[in-house]
Amino acid sequence: MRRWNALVACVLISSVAIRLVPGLSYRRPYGFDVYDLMSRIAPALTAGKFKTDLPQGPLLYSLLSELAILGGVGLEPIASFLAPSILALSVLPVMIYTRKAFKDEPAAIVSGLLAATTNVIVHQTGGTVVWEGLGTLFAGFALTLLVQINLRDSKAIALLCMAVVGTIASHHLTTMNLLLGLGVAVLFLTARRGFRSGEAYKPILLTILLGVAALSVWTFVIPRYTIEVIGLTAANANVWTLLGGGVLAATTILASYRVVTSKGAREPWMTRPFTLGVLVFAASVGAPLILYYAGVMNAETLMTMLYLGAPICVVYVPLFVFGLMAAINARTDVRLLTSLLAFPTACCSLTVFLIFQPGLGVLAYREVSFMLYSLLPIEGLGLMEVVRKGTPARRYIAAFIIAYSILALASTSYPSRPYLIGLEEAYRPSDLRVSELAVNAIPNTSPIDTDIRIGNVILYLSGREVNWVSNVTYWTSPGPAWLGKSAAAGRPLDIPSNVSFIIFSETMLKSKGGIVVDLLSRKLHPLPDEALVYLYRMPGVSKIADAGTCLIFQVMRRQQEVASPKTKP
Amino acid sequence: MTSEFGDEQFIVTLTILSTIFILCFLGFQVLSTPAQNYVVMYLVSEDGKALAQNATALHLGDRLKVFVILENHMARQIRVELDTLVAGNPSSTTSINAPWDGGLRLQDEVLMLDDGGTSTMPITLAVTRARTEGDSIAIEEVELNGVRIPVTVESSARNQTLRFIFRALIWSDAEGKYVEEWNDGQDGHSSWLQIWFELLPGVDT
Repeated sequence: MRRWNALVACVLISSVAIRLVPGLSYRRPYGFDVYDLMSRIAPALTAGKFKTDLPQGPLLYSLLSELAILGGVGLEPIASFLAPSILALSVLPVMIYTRKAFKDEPAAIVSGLLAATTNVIVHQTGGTVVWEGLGTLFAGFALTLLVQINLRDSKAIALLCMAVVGTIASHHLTTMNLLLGLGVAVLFLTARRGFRSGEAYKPILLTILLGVAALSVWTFVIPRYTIEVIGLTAANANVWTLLGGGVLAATTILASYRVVTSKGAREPWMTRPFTLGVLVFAASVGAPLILYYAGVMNAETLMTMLYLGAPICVVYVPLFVFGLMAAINARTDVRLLTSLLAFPTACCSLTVFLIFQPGLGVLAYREVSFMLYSLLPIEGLGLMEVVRKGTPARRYIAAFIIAYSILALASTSYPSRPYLIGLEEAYRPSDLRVSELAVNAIPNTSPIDTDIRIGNVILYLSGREVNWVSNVTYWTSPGPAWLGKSAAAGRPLDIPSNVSFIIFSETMLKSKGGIVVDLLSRKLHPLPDEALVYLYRMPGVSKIADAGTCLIFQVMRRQQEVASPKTKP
Repeated sequence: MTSEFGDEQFIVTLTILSTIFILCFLGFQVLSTPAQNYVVMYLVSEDGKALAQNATALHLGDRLKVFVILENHMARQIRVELDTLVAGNPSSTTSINAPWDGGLRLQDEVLMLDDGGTSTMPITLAVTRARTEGDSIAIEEVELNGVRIPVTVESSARNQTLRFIFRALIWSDAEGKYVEEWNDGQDGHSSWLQIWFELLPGVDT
C-alpha cells in the first residue's frame, strides 16, 4: 500500500509538473481560451454576478471567482498555476478506474502515467480549454463509478449522481460524451441480453435522467452556445453529410459491439510488440502523407497530424490492441467490457460523424482527448500484458523505452505555432501591454477590429460585454471586420466604414506562420504581409502604438472621403 | 538482479524514470524560454486618449498637440534618440522597413530610459506656410514646439497624404551609433509611429 501511494504521488507530481510548463515558462496565463474564461469572471468580481451568458457550465467560473475572492489572489496567478494544478488531478479517477476494472495496480499506474502526459489530454486539462478539463475530471469519476457495476449500492449511486451533476455543470461536450457513452452501453446490454433481462434497466434510467438534466441546463441555464452549435451543425449539413457521417458512426458502434460479444481473440502480435509498433508508426506517418500528396490535406494540417498524431498512435494503438485482446481472452465480464468500450466508442462515432459535417469538422479534435482518456484502462492493461510476456531483461529495457515514449508524448503537449495550424497560444508581454493601451486610450464606443486571440485579452482587461470587439456578436456573427476578411481574401481589402481602430499582432502574419484567429468552426487564414504594408501606406490610417510584435492603427479618414471645405474663422 | 525484475520492479522503474524525465523537461522548458524584451512607443492626445477623428484635419496654423510616450522593457538602461519627421505620401518604391524614407527630420531629442522607465514628450506641431496649386500642395514651413522650421514637402493630393513621423533610434554599443533596430530576444524590431494629416483648403498660404 505504501508503494502504491508513493507511485500515485509520483504520477501526480508528473501530472502537475507537465501542466505547469506554460505557467512557469511564461509567468502568465497561457491560451486565448483562458482569457475568454477570465473576461467573464473579471466583471463578475466587481458586479457580484456574471454579466454575460456563460458558454459552458458555470462551475469553473464560479470556482475560480470564489478562489479569487476568498484567496485574495489575482486571476492571472490562478489561471497560470492554480487551475492547471487542480485539473492535474484528472489522473486520479483513471487510476482508480483501472484498478477497479482489472484489479491490477501496475496497469493502473501505467494508465495514470499516460493520463498525466498524453499531449491532447494535457492540453485540455492543463492551460487551455480549462472547462473541458474540469468536465473530464468529473466524467472520469463517473466512469470509475460506472464500472463498479453494483448500482444497488446507494452510496455509489449518490456519488455517481454527484459526478454526473459535476460534469453537466462543467462542460457541454464532455456531458454529451457521457450521455452518448451511456446510450451505447444501454444499446450493447439490450442487444446482447434483451430488454427484458432487466440488466439495462438502471443504465436506461440514468441515461434518461442525464439527458433530461443536460437538455434542461442547455435550454434554460446556458441557452446560447450548445443549442446554437447543434443548430449550426444542422444548418450547415445536408442529407449526404448527415447520411455519410451517420453510416460511419453506426459502423463504429457495430464494430465495437462485435468486439464486446466476441468469445476470444487470437494474439498474433502479443509476442511481437516492436513489429506492431513500427508498423503503426509507418501507417501514422504514411496515411497523412498520402492524404497530403492526394491534395486532401493541406501542409498545416499535415504538420499538426504528424506532430501530435504520430506519438499518440505509436503509444496508444499497439497498447489498445494488446489490452483489448487480453481483456477478451481473460473472459472479462461482458458488463465490464461494455462499460470500458462504450465511452471510447461513443467519442469515436461522434468524431467520424463530426468530420463529415461542413464547417464543424474541425471540432472533432475535441473528442480525441476524451476518447483517449476513456481508453486508458485498456491501455494500462495492454502494456502490462506485453511486459509480463517478456523476459526480465526485456522488461528492464522496456521500462526505459516506455519512459522515453511518455516523455515524447508529454513534450508535444504545447505545440508552437507551426505545429498548431498557425495558432499561437502563448501571449507575449508586448501583446498584453498593447492590449492595455488599447483599453485605456480607445473610447468604449469605438469599434475595434482585431482577432479573437487579442480580443479576449481586451475583453478581460476592459471587463466589458463580450460583443465589444468588432462590434459584432462574438460567437455566431462574422468575425473580425477587416483583418479577418482580408485574411480570408488573401489580399488587403478596403477598410469598412465601421472600423475605427485596428489592433494588429505579428501572430496573425503569414510570413510569421500565424493566422487571424476566428471561430475554430471556420477556416482560419493567415493575414498576407501585403495587408501590413497596406496599413503603413494607406493615407488616413495612423500608426499610434508600436511594441514591435503588436501595433495599433487608427483610421482617421478614408481615401474616398473628401474633406468638406471649410474656412478658418 | 534482472531475474527478479518482476511487475513491481518494472512499474517502480517506469514511474521513477518517467517522473525524472518530466521534471527535467519542465526544467529545460523553463530555462530555455527566453524572457521577451521590448520597447513600447505610443501617442495620445492631451486627455490621455487616442486622437479625435477630426484632429488631423488642419488649417494653416492649427496646432496638433500630442504626447509621444516611450516605455523601456529591455531589461537594461537604453539611450534613445527620438526623431520627429515630416513626410509626404510614400512612393511606390519606398521599402516598408523605412517608411520615413524621403521624410525631413525636424528635431531629434536624446533620452535616457531605465528598465521599466517611461518618458513622455509633449509635441506640438503646426503647418505655418504652404503653397497650393489645384489639388497639389507643398509645405514650406512647420512649427515644432514653437520653433519654426523651413521644409519642402510636396504632395499631389490634399486628403490625408501628409505625415508626421516619430522614430526611436536606440544606441548600440556594438556599432557605436544609434540604430533603428532592437532585438526582443528572438526577432529584430523598429519603433516608429506616424500620423497622417491633411491641410484643409480655404485659406491663403
